[in-house]
This record gives sequence, C-alpha cells and structure tokens, in this order.
Amino acid sequence: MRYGRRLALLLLATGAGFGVVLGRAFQLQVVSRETWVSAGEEKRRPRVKVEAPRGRILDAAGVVLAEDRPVVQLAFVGGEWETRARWRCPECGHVQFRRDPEAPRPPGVRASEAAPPSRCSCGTRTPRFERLADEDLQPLERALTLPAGSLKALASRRVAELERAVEQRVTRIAGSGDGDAVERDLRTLLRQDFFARPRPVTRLSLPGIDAVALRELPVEAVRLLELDPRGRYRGFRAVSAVERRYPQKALLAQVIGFANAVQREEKEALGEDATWATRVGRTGLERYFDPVLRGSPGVIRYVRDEDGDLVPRAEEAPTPGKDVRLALTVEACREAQKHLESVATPGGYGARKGPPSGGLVVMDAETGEILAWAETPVFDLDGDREEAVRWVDEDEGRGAVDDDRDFLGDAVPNATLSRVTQVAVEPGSSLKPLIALSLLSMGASFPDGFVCAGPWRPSRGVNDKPGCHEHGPEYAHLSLEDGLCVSCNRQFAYAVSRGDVAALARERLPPALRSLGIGRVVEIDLPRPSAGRFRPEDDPALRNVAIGQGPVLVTPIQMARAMALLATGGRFPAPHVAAVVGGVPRRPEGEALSVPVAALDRVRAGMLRVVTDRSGGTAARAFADTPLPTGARAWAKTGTAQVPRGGDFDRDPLASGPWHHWFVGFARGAGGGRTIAFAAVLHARNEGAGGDTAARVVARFLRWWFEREIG
Amino acid sequence: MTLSDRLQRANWLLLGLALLLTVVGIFTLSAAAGEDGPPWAWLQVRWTLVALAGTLVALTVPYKRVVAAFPLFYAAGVAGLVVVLLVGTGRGAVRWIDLGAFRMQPSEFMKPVLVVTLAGYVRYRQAYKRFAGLSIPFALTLVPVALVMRQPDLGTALLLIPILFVSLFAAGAKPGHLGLVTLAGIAAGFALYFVPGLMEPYQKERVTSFLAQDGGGEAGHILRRQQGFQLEKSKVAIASGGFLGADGEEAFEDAIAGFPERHTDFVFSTFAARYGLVGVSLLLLAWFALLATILSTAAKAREPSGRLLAVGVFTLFAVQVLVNLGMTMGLLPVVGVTLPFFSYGGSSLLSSFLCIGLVLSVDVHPEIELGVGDFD
Repeated sequence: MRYGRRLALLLLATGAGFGVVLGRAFQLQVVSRETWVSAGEEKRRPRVKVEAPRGRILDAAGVVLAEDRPVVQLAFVGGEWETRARWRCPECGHVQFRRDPEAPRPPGVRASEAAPPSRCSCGTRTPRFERLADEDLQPLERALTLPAGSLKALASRRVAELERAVEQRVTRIAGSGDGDAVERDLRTLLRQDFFARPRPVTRLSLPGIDAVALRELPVEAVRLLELDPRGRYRGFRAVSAVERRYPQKALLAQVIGFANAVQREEKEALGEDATWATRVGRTGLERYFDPVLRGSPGVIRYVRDEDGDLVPRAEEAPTPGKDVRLALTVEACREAQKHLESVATPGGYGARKGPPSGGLVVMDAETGEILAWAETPVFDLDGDREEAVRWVDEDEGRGAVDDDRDFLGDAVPNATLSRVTQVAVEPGSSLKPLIALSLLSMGASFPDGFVCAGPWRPSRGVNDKPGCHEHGPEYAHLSLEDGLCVSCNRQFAYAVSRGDVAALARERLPPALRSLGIGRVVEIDLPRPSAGRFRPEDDPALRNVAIGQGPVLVTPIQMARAMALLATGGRFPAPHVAAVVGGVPRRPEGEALSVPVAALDRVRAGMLRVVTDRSGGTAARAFADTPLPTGARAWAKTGTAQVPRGGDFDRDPLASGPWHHWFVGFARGAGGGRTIAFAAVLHARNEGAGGDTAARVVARFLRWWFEREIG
Repeated sequence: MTLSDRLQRANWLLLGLALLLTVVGIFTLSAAAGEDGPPWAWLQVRWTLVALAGTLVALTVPYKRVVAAFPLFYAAGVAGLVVVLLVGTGRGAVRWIDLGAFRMQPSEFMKPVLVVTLAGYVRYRQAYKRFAGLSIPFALTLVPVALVMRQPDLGTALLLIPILFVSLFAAGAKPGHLGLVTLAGIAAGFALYFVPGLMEPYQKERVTSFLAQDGGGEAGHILRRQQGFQLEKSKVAIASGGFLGADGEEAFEDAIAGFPERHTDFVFSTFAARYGLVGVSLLLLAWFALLATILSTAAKAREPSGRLLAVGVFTLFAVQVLVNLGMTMGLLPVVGVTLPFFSYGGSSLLSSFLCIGLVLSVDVHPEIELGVGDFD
C-alpha cells in the first residue's frame, strides 16, 4: 500500500471515529435527553427518606412504657481518627488533615497519604506547613465525665475492631462461593463507606463508667465537638439520633421488649419501608406489633430556594407508627414485681437462698385482658442491652423455647425469655383442679371417701405415715374437695388409674386436658408463646399426669387461662396484653366450653378450701398471714413439682431439680368487680413449696388489688 | 533560511486552529469554575502564553535536529518517569513532580518524546518491514508504557501504543505483522485484567463500570449507581446541553453541579452542557480540520522523519480526542485521558503545543532527502 493511501486510510478511520462520536452526542443530547436530564435532576435534588417516629407503648393509664426521643450521641469515625495529623498553613491558618506519619500504615495505604500537604487553597506551597502538636482530649473527656485518656483508648480499640472487620470481610469474600454476596461485599468495600459511616458508640467498658454514658451527650460536649475548627477532636462527632427510650427501665421487660437498629438483610427485605434509622422490634410487644409501631418513612426532596441554595422540603410526610395501649397498669405491675421479688433471689441457681426466677400473670377472667405481669430475672430495657441482644440471638438460633433447667449453670439466666409465656415446666399439683374437672366432665366418678394410708411415696414402695399427706388422720377419708384442699397425690393417682376408670381415663383424659389448653399454644399478643408439652403416651397409667409431673409441661399463661375457665364456668378468654392498637380497641374472641355445673362447683369448693381451710389448706397459712379484704375471696391451688427428687443439687442439679412452685386460681372482690385469674410460678433449687412462696406472692398482690378496688 | 522566512512559511491555519480550540477551552473552563470558583481560566491563559512561546521555539528549530537528538529526549523522558515513581506526588496515582512553583507531569511530555523517538529510530531503517524487526520499536514504546502504568496512569499508557502502531503502519510495516501484534496485545489486555496484581482495583472498577453501564438487571443498575458515578454525571451534563446548550445559567450550573473533573478529563462534558449539539458539531469540525491539516503536512513532507513526526502527532491527537470524547459519552471506559488544548493543566497544554510546534517545523523546513527512497 502506498504512503498516500495509508494516510487517506488514517484520515478515513479518524473521520469514522468522529462520526460515531457525533452520533452518540446526537443520541444523548437529542434522542434520550429527557431521560438523562431527569436522572440528573433526581441525583442533584435527591429524595432522602426520613424515618417515621415509632409508635409509643402506653399502659392503661397512659403512662409511657416505650417512646422515641431525639438525642445527641457521640459517634466515632475510624477514617477521621486515622487522619488526624494536623498541618496549619502559615499564611491563612487553615488546618489540613493527613495520616499520622508516625503511625503504622495498614496494607494498601500509600506513604504519600502521610506526607505533609503540598499546597493550600490560599496558594501557599510546601514545605512551610506547620505540624500542630497532638492535643489531649481532656476537655471533652471532662465534659463526658470520663477519665483522662479513655477516649484515645476507645478510639484505638474501635480502629482495631474496624480493621479486623475488614480483614474478616476480605477473608469471607475470598472463601465464599456465593457470587452475589461477594459482589455486594466487594461493592461495599470499594465504596469505602465502611469507614465513612459514623458508628455510634454504644458501650464504653472502662472502669467507673456507665456503660451507656455516650448514648446521650451533655450540652458542653456537644458544644466542644461542634465548635472544633482546628480538628482537636477529629474522629469523634456529635450526631443527632432518635433513641428508643423505656422509662420504666426493667419493669415489664419481657412484655414490652425492645427494638434496635435494622440489619442489612432486614432493610433489604423491608424495601421502601425502611431507612438505616429504622428500628426493628426484637422481643415482646415491640416485636409482635412491630409493623404497627414502625410506621413508614417519609421523603424529603432538596429544592433550590430564591437564593439558589438547596433546601430540604418535605415531599411526603412520614407516617408515624401507631401507639399501642395496654390493659395493664404500671402501678399494678410494680406491685406484682415487688411481691415477686420479695421471695425471689436473683443470682441464678448458684445462689443458695430463694428461687432465682419466676413469673406472675394476672388477667381478667371474662375478657382475657392482662392486668398485671411480673417476672424475674429482668434486664434494664433502657440500659446496656448487649447481653439481652446476645440472648435473643441465641434463642433465634436455637429456634425453640426452653425449660428453665437450661439455665441451671448460668449466673444470670436468660432474661429475655418470658417465664410466663415461653418457659414451660411441670405444673405439679396445680394441675389437679383440671384433672378433677376433666374426670367429672367425662362422666367418671371421683374416689370420694378415699382412704389415704399415708404419703404417696412410690419410689420407696412404702406408706410410712398414717393419714394423708402429712395432714394427719382427719384426712384419712378424702372427698374430692378434701383431696384438692390438702393436695393428696395418692388420691389423684388412684383416681385415674383405678380399675373401673383406667381405660376410660386413658381414652378421654388426654383430650379433655387438651381442650383445657394443656399442650396447646395460647394465642396471646406476644411473640413465640410456648405450647408446653403434653405426652400422655409416656405415662400410660397417667399417675404422673394426675399429679402434674412427668410428661406434662405448662406455662403460667396456660394455667391462668384455664383458671379463667373455672372462674367463668365455661368461657375460655383469649389473653391479650394490648387493649387498644392504633386507636382501635382490641377484643380477641375467646372460646366457649361446655362444663358441667356440678363438677365446677365441686372443684371450686375444693379450691376455696385450699385458701381458707386452716387445718389443711396448702395455701391457708399464706392467706392467714396476708388476709384478703373483707368480702374478697380466692379459689386456688398450690403446686410443687418436685421432679426429680432428692440428691445433692450443687453436685448434680439436673438429677435433683429444679423444683417449680406454683399457685394458680381466680379471685373476686366484694363489690362484684372484675374476676381475675392468676398464675404464679417460681423456679427454685430442690427446696420450698408453692404454698410458701408462690402463694405468698399472690396473696400479697391480691390484698393490694382488692384494697385498691375498695378504695 | 531566516526567521522571517520561517514564520512566513509556517502553517498558520494549524496554529490558528490550535489557538481557537484553546480559547474555546478557556471559556469552557471559566464556565466550569463559575463566578466565585477556582481561577482555572486565568491559570490556563498563563500556560497558553508559555506554550505559545514553546511552540515558536520549536517552530524555529529544524525538526531534523530534534529528531537526531531522539536518544537524549528518550533518556530524559524515561528518567522523568522513573523520578516520578520515586518522588512523585498525587492523590491515589503518583503522576506529578513537585517543582515548588508548579507541578510537572512527565507522562504528558513522554507523548511527544515517543513521537520524536519513533521518528528518529524508524526513519531510515527497513527492518520494521520484517516481523522480527518490530522488536526494537516495540521495546522503545513498552518501556515508557510500563513506567506510566506503574504510576498508575492507564489512560496515558494506552495512548502511547497507537502512536507506535500508526507510525509503523505509515512507515510501511506489513499490516499482517501489525495484526499479529494486535492480537497479542489483546491477549495481554485480558491477562492484565484477570491476573491479580497487574491492575489497580479502581482501574478494574472503571472497566467493570463501563461494561455494566447498559447491562440489565440489578447488578447493572447498582454498578451504574455506585461505580459509574463519574460517567453518569458526564452523560447527564452532555444531555443537559440539548441542541443549543443548557437553558439558562441555572440549568447549566445544575448540569455540572458536583461534577468532579469537569475542568480536566471531563471538560468536554462541560462544553457540551454549555453549547449543546451545535457547539459539539462545530468543535468536532474544528478538531477534524486540525487533524486534517496535520495530515496534509505529513502528506506534503518529503523526508521520512518529518512524515513520521506529523503522523505521530496526528495519531496522538486523534486517539486522545477520540478516547476522551468516547469515555465522556460512555463509549469507552473511563481511563483518565485529557482533551488536548481543552483540559485544564499546564503539562498537557505545553505538551500539545510542543507537538504543534514540531509539525509546524516540518512545514517550515521542507527538507528533501536525496538518494533516499520513499517509505514505499
């Protein structure tokens, strides 16, 4: 090819290239102009989602249990901390930040990033920049009432954590076969927002410091951080945030639950309904009513004002979350909590005195409204919830609700699980009213005039004491009412296993108990209630079932609901904590159950004697010590599930305990007020009895309740 | 030949076109800076005066002397690239040498140096017509390419390679040989992308961003949003120009608001937003006229090194313009190439005007080599 032709070819190729460029310009500037201009408009005047205030949780009297509150928090920005070497321009005084030249450089960071600045915006050039000496952070530490040096220690620790997290990500990316996840993670790393995003400091584990001291900053600290032109506190920022506050602290911790920051996966799942400021309910009502409480984000659009400045304008107002108002009152719960804690001793099963955990629930027997609730152990909803979050994570991972014996070795048993709805244990003798009612309802006779020759000790095979159940010869011939009053195990075991009833009981007792709610989930407005356990096939003779041990595990809410049935004579209410949700009253439907009146009367009569019969009633002493106001009456049953018995608890707790102390029943005041059903349980070492512990808690609460009702 | 003769014989159309582009560029820089913005336009005017002086000097020096000194220029150019690796400054990529009063970008000067070097080496040889004979010109090119990539500056490095190819093509190298080398180059490109450690992550990201820009699905969408930020801003700015330019000052400011590098690599987007499709068409016309003028000098030249100089400069400008415009419009990956005469920066402007000076020198020194055959 000749030279001239080669040049012509070059010119032709260049012309073709220019043609393509012109064509593309035509496409962008004419054909698809509107599309790109709209996209640019969207970018320039971005729509920013604004988090909606989360709804409040209130008690029946309007006392706040959970609410959103704006606060200023201390945030730590690792990237800024690492580049806090300050260089001042000698001409204009402007301060620039670089990476500390003396600090070790992480891999991938160039030496030039630690070099002095090469120029200033005023035109001054290197090398005349003056390196400002590192100043201590004491004024800020004083404002935060932190010891000297603690902020620096905190920063170093956070930077190390961030670097570790990046390393872990890189390792995970390298070892992952999930293409999408790899891409997402890589993108996050490339965007470098890992370091850029302020990370609120939620915990300072320094001596003498409140663990949550930095969730809300004092005004002086905010002033220091905001007026910091020389970057003395670079790395720390005062950021405004909305905090979920729980003014009642630990009271009702399991019922109210808590909400915390949305996780990446959750945000993706929620889509348009979430921002990074969204809080998600983790436990209790916060979790159950999360969609109601959360609301939906609004939108702010930035527009130019008359001066040409971009100013935010609300384009779409956020829809605030709705309030949830409960049927119970803080006052009643505080009273219940006080009495529960008067017999319980926190400190796990290692503490040698008193039951370490338990719960009390009180409900309106007619409507199912929960009127009072107390539990132990509790945790401060408004404090450092690090351990609570760990408990929740563990429970989610396990996916099952536990018997309290899972916490035998814990100094602080899991306090996020509710002892009222989620921990199911043997009911012991508190099940007897239901056994009696079931037997009578299915047409079986009860062994009235039963001769009890002594305590039922099947493990020893001997009756070593005459008279029934340590109550002496006067209870040697027992009616049903007597049996309930003194809680005769032998009579109830005999009632289900004697020759003429055994077959019928085997066939009809289990379904009858199930119809009373044993082994069935209680539909309550709290997350993951336990169904307990009911496996009668493990005890074909039903002797253990008859005394509430062996294959039967129940929760207090199941027992309280069953007691409501006994109180109403055939109406099974649906227990519910929330009375009004988003302004709409809630009245969950209950169930009706046909119960023979005669059977009910006999069971009630026996339960009344439990409280009133001073010669043998298992709770009579507790009610004698704390008598109910005149006219108020209680029908109840104690229970002490001693499974298993004997042994050295400290050496082998599983072989000897824990024991469960129960007190269940219903009560009515003199003036025809509400009939309330209740259930209390305390989980103890291998000691004590329901009549001494749980009954006293309930007696004290009922006295307060009915005195208040009279007042 | 006297200085007056030389000035009279100079191709003033070429210089005029270069100046026209520079002036339009200065206006564009002024618009990009806004009322209270940085003094880019004024600084560019100062650099233009310096560059014009350099052009006149280059014009007066016989180009054959320049070409004859190619080993010196080449050594100086490579030394500059080595020095920048040792003591260079810059954010992310290390491309500049700080000289106190100003900063110099050696890779910008390597472009005309390579043009001169290839012209000097290839002019009287015939070896490049054999496959094996291509090795020395390739080695001369690949050394600066490797050094520039170490900075890293992928865009400038990739500009140097077309200069080699077109110089060899114009000089008569067999297209088949060049095709083979091209295939090898493509293979090397793949290796560059896929072998870990050869490309910086951000360079890979730019290529990925380019490939994903029109891809469907979530991945394409997210990449467009997160990694192709610069490219998207550029396209929005160009589109905002419409047919006759952005509708009013506010619309123009909106179009370039928060647009990084709107005065350097992406100055064309600013121009397109300001003057619309009509302005873009006229600009392309001016560019094409300038390139055609350079090529006419190459066609008129009778001496091989003069031809190679003009062809080299033509290639440098043509590729640089096409790559720059292509990347700002999303036709090519964003590789960081300036638009000659337009982009803000002394090194780029000086280098471009030196190239013009070399071509003018070819025009005013019409040397005829007796006894030496044409390329073909």
